[in-house]
Amino acid sequence: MIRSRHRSLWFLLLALAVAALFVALRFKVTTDVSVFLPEGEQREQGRILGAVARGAGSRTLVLSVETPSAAQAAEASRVLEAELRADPRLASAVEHLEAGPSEGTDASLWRLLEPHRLAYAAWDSQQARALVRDEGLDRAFAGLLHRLTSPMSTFVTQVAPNDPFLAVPGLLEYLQSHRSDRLAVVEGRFVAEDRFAIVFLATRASALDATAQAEVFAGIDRAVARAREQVPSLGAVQTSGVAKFAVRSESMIRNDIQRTTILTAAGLAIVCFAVFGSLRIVALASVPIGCAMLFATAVCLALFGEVHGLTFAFGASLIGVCVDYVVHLVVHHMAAPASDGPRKTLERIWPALWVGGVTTMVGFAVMGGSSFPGLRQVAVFAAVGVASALVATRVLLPPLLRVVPERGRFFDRLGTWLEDALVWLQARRRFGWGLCAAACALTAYGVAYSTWDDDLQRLGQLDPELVAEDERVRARVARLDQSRFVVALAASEEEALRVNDAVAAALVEATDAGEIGAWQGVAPLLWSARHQSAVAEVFRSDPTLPARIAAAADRAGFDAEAFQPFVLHLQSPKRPPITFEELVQSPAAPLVRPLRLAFDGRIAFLTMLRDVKQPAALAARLQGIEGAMYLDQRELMDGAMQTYRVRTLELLVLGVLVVFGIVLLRYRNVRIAAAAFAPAVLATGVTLGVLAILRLPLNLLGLTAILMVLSIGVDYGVFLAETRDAKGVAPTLVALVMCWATTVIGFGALVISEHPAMYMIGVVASVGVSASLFLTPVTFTLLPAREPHP
Amino acid sequence: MHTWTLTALLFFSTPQAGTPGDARALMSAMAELPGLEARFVETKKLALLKAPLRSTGVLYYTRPGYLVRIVEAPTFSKVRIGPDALKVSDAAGEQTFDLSARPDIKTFVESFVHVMAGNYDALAATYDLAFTPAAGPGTPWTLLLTPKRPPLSNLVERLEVVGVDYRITTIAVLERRGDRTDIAVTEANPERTFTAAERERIFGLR
Repeated sequence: MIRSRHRSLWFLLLALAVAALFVALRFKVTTDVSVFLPEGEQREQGRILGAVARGAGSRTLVLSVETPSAAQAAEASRVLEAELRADPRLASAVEHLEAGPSEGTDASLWRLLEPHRLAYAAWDSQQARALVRDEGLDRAFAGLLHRLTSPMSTFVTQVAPNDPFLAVPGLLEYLQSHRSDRLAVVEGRFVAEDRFAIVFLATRASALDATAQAEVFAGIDRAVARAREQVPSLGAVQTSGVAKFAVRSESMIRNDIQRTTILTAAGLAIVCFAVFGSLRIVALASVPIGCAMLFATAVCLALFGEVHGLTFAFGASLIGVCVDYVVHLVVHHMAAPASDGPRKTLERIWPALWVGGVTTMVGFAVMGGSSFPGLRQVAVFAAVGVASALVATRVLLPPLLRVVPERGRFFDRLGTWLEDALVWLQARRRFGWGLCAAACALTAYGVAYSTWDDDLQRLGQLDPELVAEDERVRARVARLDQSRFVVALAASEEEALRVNDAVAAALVEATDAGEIGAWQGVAPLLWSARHQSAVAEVFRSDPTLPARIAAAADRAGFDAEAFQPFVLHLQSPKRPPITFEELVQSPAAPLVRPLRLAFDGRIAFLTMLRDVKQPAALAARLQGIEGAMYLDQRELMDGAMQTYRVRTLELLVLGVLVVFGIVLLRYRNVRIAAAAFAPAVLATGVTLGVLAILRLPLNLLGLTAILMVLSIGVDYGVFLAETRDAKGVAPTLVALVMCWATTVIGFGALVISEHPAMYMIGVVASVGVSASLFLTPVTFTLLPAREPHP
Repeated sequence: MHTWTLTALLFFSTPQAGTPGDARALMSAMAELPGLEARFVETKKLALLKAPLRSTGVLYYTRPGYLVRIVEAPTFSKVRIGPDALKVSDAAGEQTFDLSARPDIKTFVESFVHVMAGNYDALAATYDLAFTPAAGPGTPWTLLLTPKRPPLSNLVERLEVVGVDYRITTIAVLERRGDRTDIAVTEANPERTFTAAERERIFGLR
C-alpha cells in the first residue's frame, strides 16, 4: 500500500516535471478573438479581423499637435518630426513616420509606372476596347486638346507624345485626389483645420503590446518636450490609435492588481491567522492550483498548439474552485485529525471532494460540444485543471500535512457559532423557506431584467476622456473608416489581386449607386498580372491602331507624327507586369503596404471604405465575387458574441442538468440531491438579480464568473450533503465559511477595480459565492429530519 | 503652366506714373496690387498641334496669393491656385492636386505667389532676371526670366515679359521643346477688391 502511494507520488512528480518542460518549450499565448467565433464563414472573417488587428493600420498612431495657425502647425510638424526621428529608442520602435506627403513620390511613381502605361490606360479590358475604337480615340484626343488649354499644358505636351491617353498622369491625379481626405498640406506638412499638425507614426510592435507601446509613448513625450523648447506655440498633443487604449488598459490592470493584491494578501493573512493560526494554508493551496494550471496548460498546448488569453481568464476561476478542496481537507484534519494521519482524514472526506470535482469537470466538459473552438479549449482547460487539482490534493497534500496545523483563536469558536446557527435555522424552517422565496423572487427579477452586453470592446476599459480624444483626432484626420472594409482573399498574391480587381470594379459601381462615399485600395495603382497583360494586349494586338491613332489625332487638329513615340511603344517588346514588391520598394510604399495581409499561408488585400450608406446592398454586390467579403468589424463581433452567448447559455443549462443527474445518481434521493444542488442555481439567480438591480449588463467574463459560482455552489452543497451527520457538519460549515472567505477575498477584491471586466468578475464572484454560502445550509435545514444517508 | 507667372505680370498696371527703371521697381509696384480682374487671350503654338490653339477667359487674383483662371472657350475649365493646392474643375469634375508632391508645379506656383506679392528676392531665387528699360516714354521695356535650375529649367527656356510704362502688355513663354505661348491681356482692373461673398464664390475662401 505504502509502495503504491510512493509510486503515485513519484509518478505525479515525474508528470509534473514533464508537463513543466513541455510548457516551457511550447508555451504560446494567443489573443486571436476568432477562436471565440463559431466555425464557418464567421470564423474566417474573425481570422481576417485578427490579421487586420496585427497589421500596419492598427499599429499606426495619429498625433495631433495644436498650434495657433497653419504656418505654425507646419513649423511644429517639422520640428516634432525631427525630434521624433532623432530619438534613438523611438527610432528603433517606429516602422515609419509620415508628417507630410513624401516629396518626389509622384516622380518615383512616374518612373515606375511609365513603362507600363498601356496596362494603366484603362480600368479593364472592356474599357480598353472602347478606348481603341474610333469614337474612343476621338474622345481621347478631344480630352487631350482640352488639357492643353489648362495651366498644365506645358507638362501635358511633354507626356502626350508617349502617352496620348494620359494613362499615368490620370492615375497620379486619381491617387492625389483620393488620398488627401480632410488633411490640407501646408509647406509640405499635413495640417488639419488650419491649426493642427498631424503626424502618422506606425510602430513595429503590435498595437496590443502594451509594454512596447508604453516605450513608444514615452519616446513621443520626450520628443514633444524637446520640440516645445524650440516652438513655444506648440500646444496640446492628442493621439488616436489602438495602442493608447492598450497602454491605458495595461496600466489600469497593473494598478488594479497592485491594489487588489495588497487587499487580498491582507485579508487572507487576517483570516488565515484568525482561523488557521498561520499562512500555511496558502502555501498548501498553491500545490493543487499550480498542478491544475500546469497540466491544463500542457494539455491545451498539446491539443491546440496555443492557449488563448481568455482561456487563462477562465482558468483563473479554477483557483476559486480548486482552493476549496485544500480548505476542506485542512479544516477537517484540524477539527478531527484521523489517528493514522491526514491520508485517513482525506479518505473520510474524499467522496465530497470527488463528487464536487466530478460535477465541476462534467459541467465544463459539456461545453466541449460547442462549435466555438475557444469554448472547447476552455472546456478542456477546466476539466483537465480540476482533475489535476483533485489528483494533486489526493497524492501531494497528505505528505505535506503530516504536522497537524495549530488551530487559530477563532477556529473552535467559529465551529460552535456555525453549529448553533444551523440549529437555529433548523428550528425556524419558515425563515428558511422565506429566504428561498426571496432568492426565487430575486432570480425571477434577474431573469426578467438582466441584460447582456455583446460589445467586446467594452470588456476592456475605455476611458471616456480617452475615447473622446481619439474621436476628435480621427475626425480631424477623417481618414477612411478602419472598421469597415472589403477583403480580397486567396491562396496566392496573384489570385488575391484578381479578386481585388473584381472588388475595385464592384466598388466603382457601388460608389456610383451611392452605397458608399469613397474607397481606397491597391487598385487602381496595382492590378493583377492577368489584368495588366489583358489591358495592354488590347492595345498591342490591334494592327490597325497606329493608323487609326494617326487619323484621330489628325481629326482633332494634332500633328499625327508627334505621336510616333507611342506607336513605337506599342510595337516594343512586352514588359513583365508590375508587382506589389516593386511598389513596396518605391516611395509609394505607404499607399499600399498597409493594405496587404499575409496569414495562414494566404494573401489578403484590403480596400478601406468611407461613408458606407447601404451596407446590405454593398454586401450583396460583393457576394458574387469569390474570395471577396465585406466586413464590418463591430457588427461581426457583436453578432458573434450574441451567438456565443446563446450557445454558451444553452450548454450551461445542459451542463446544469447533467450535474444534477450526477448528484442524483450519487445520493439516489431527490430531496438530498435538490438540497445539494438548489443553492448553486439559486445563487446564480440571485447574482443575476443583483446585476439587474445594479443595472450591470452581463458580459463574457461575467459569464465565466457565473460558471465559477455554479461550480462552487454545487461543491458547497455536495460537501454539506456528504458530511451532514452530526460529527462532520461543524468542520464542514467552518470549511465552507473559509472557502467562501478565500473566494470573496481573492475575487471580491476585484470590485475595487477600475477595469470593467475585472469589476464584473468581482461583483459576480462576491454576490454568487456569498449567496451560495447562505443558501446551502438553509436548503439542508428544509429537509425532513434524519434523511437516510446513502 | 509657367505662363501663369507672366500672365499675372501682364496685369500689373499700377497707378504709378512713368516707366520702371529696373525689375525691382516693377516688383515694388506689383507689391501694391490689392487684387485683379482681367480678360486674357492665350495663343499656344505647339509642336503637337497643326494650328495654334487659342483660348480666352478671365483671371482673378486676391491677396495673400490666390488666383483663379477661368477658360471660357474653346471648352470651360476653372483652375484655383492656393499656396499649397491646385484645384481643377471642368466637365469631368473637380480634382485637387497636392503641390508638395509635384515639385515642378510647386516651383511655378511659388514663383507666381512671389510675383503677386512683389517679392523680387524670392523670384530672383528661381529665375535669372534681365531687364531692358524702355528707350523713352511710351516705348516698351522687356523683362527676361530664365529658370535657374531643374525641374523648371527642363521645361521652360525663358519667359519674355513686355510692357509699357507700368503696364504689362504681352508675355511669351518659350519652352525647351520649341513650343511657344503668347498671352495678351485686355480689360485689366488692377484695383479690384472682392467682397466676402465673392471671395467664397470665386476663390472658395471662407
